[in-house]
Amino acid sequence: MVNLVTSDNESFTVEKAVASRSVLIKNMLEDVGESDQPIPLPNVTASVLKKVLEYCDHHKNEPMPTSEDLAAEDTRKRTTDIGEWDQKFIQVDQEMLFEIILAANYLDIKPLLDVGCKTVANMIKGKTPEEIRKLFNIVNDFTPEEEAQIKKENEWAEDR
Amino acid sequence: MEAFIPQMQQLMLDLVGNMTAGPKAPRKLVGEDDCKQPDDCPGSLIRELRIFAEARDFAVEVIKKFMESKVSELASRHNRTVAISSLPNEVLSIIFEYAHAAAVADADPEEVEGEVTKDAKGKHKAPVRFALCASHVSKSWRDIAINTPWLWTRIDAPVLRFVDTCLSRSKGLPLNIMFQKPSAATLADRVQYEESVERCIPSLLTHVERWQSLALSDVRPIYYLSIFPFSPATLEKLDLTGIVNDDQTDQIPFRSQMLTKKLPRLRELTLCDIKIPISSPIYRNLISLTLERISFDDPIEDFIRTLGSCPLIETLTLVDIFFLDDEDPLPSNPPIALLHLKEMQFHALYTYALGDILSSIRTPPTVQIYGHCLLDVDDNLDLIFPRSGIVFNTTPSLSEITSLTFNFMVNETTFSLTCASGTFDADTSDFILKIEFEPAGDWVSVDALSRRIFLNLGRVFPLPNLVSLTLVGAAPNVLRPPDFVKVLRRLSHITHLKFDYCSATLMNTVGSGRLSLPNLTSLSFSDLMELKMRPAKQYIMQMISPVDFCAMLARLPTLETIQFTNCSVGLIQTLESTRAKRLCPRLEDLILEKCDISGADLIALAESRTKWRGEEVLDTIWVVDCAGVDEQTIARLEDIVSQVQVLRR
Repeated sequence: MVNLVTSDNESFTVEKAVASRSVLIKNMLEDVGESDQPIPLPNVTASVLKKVLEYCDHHKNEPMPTSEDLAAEDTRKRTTDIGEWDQKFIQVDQEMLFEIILAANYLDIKPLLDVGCKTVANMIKGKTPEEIRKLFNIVNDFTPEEEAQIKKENEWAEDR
Repeated sequence: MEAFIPQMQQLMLDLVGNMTAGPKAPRKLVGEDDCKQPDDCPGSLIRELRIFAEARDFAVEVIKKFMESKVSELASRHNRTVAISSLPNEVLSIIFEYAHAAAVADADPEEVEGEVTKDAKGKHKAPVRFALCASHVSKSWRDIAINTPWLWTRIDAPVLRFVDTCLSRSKGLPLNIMFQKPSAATLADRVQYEESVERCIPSLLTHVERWQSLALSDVRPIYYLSIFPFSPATLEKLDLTGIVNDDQTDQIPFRSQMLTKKLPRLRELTLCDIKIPISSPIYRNLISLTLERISFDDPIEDFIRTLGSCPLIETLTLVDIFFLDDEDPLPSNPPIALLHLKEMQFHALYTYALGDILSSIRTPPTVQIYGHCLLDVDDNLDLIFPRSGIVFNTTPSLSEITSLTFNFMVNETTFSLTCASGTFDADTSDFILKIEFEPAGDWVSVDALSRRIFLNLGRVFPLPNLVSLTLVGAAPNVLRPPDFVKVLRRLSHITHLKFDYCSATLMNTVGSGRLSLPNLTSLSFSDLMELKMRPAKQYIMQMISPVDFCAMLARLPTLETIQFTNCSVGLIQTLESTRAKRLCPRLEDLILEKCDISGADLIALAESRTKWRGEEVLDTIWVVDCAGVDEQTIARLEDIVSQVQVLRR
């Protein structure tokens, strides 16, 4: 078993196979060898780690993506399809979604990072800039000169 | 914010001060009157007015700029506080790549389940729009989007500034260039579009070493001639679509020089209305080849030889393709091994071309061959399929056929032959052969052709492993009973037979004893209803009477399964057993689909067949979409037979 301590000082004791879905933790475990020492995770809160561990537990028996897999991944062939369980898992509010993505990025859990990124990609796909701004509470910060340039660029898409 | 107000006020005062502090000495303008009191003279006042107006405009402009930059800055500060901004740039970049890839998948007709449709073209703008859209949300998003090279690798708008922008922002990544004419374009639009493409070509050629795919649709080659001398070494996919009946291109004297250079990595080639001689090296080492609306000046022998240079080919599509008519028969060379071929699709191909190809290649047993064939007055299956002596060395899948459906009435002028292996259900997609036949001209009778092709079954087309035969729309004036008997005698080893909207005269051949099917264990009927006969073609399909139906079943004692789909209740009730009549003693499964039988009639039928237990073994009743069979009936049936399966479709 592995003991993980979050930024808000909460402890989680999990199976090694679950914790090792994180390449960061896996490497740390390999570096320190057999030890009862808790592993501090200063960038992850308890509520987020709970979700992340739920994901890791569900996928613990799946093969880890190899470096060859990652190298062979062709950006052109990427799809935004998400498995049924993952879709339900990632149905959280925006703030938690971004927290999970950040945690997956920090803990180096590539499949979870992909699920999060695909979810956001599906949210923005097919939307106009204004709709995207509204979705994420972003405001238009372009100056009028920059807006004029953008207007010209939009004509590229129409002029076909 | 409060500190900002006095800052603004001071700025305005400074500006006004600066503008009014300059030398006031009036300068006489040409045509101005001399005045005793210079300040009051009209010319001087006008000059002063101009100065102040300029000062005002300048001040307003400076303040406006200042305000705008402050507003932009504040907006950017706000954006840095929103939740999505917590994501690092590299993560947002990954998100953009996913969204872009999804837009590409939506836009690419090839990704739409292999169906290239005009509707798919409507989504073509999505990728370019996504890249621009992401870069138009906010300054930080723009910065990330511009620095995500994948977003700019698909160049799909023939607008020079856009092309140059993509070439620069894609930073050395492989390029996918695809220009497609706007839908519903007029002739003027088309020419304008072709000229736009032509203007973009020189810029694109400066990055020719990065081309991964090139698709130029509805552009005549004269607009991209400058490409031909180049040899894009990294090009994997080439799709050139010209325009229909483009005489101009056909007459280009340099046509034979088109793409004569080697394209070492080219694997997917699509040519539509663009004729490039078969001798061109671009036809080599392909994995996918699609040719459409081309009349080659080369004989088919050359084309077959070219296929030999593509041993890894997986898909071959030929649509409206004509080869130079060569009267000489093909030399009897060993077949060309195309052991990776997954599907061969053709449309409006003449029998001689299809036959020559099928006889000259060796395909794997899993290959799917499908399409549409034009039949001339004397054409027959022996012109299409390899002789039985060489079928094992050419298309071994044909000898593995276990299920065959012959549809005499796909539509007014078309009939079809669909074959599958390994399954009895020809409706499933794992067919290995699906050909629609159509007369090559008005001079050929479709009925005569369908009859002749049907007569070939079991002879030219041996079908040694056939298990299941389905006939659809066999009317008496298309398929005469003697012909039906002749073919079915050759195929008497079948165990499954299905009549879908077929004439009673065919079924009567069994009832009268002219046809014997000793191995038949499964018999299906569809659309045997007096009032619901399909009005296809102009045939009147004679309905089988319950008496004749009884006579037929009496000759088929080996039946274990009978299925009625959309059939008259009177026919179903013939299965009811009495002391004097016990049809189909081995019947185990009775399947009723969309039949109007009442619950009481079905219970009576089931009960009658269990009265002589030991002789009759009705085990399972399947009820599919039968409105008259309610839950009470099902409960009662469950007491009578072992299983009742209820399905709703």
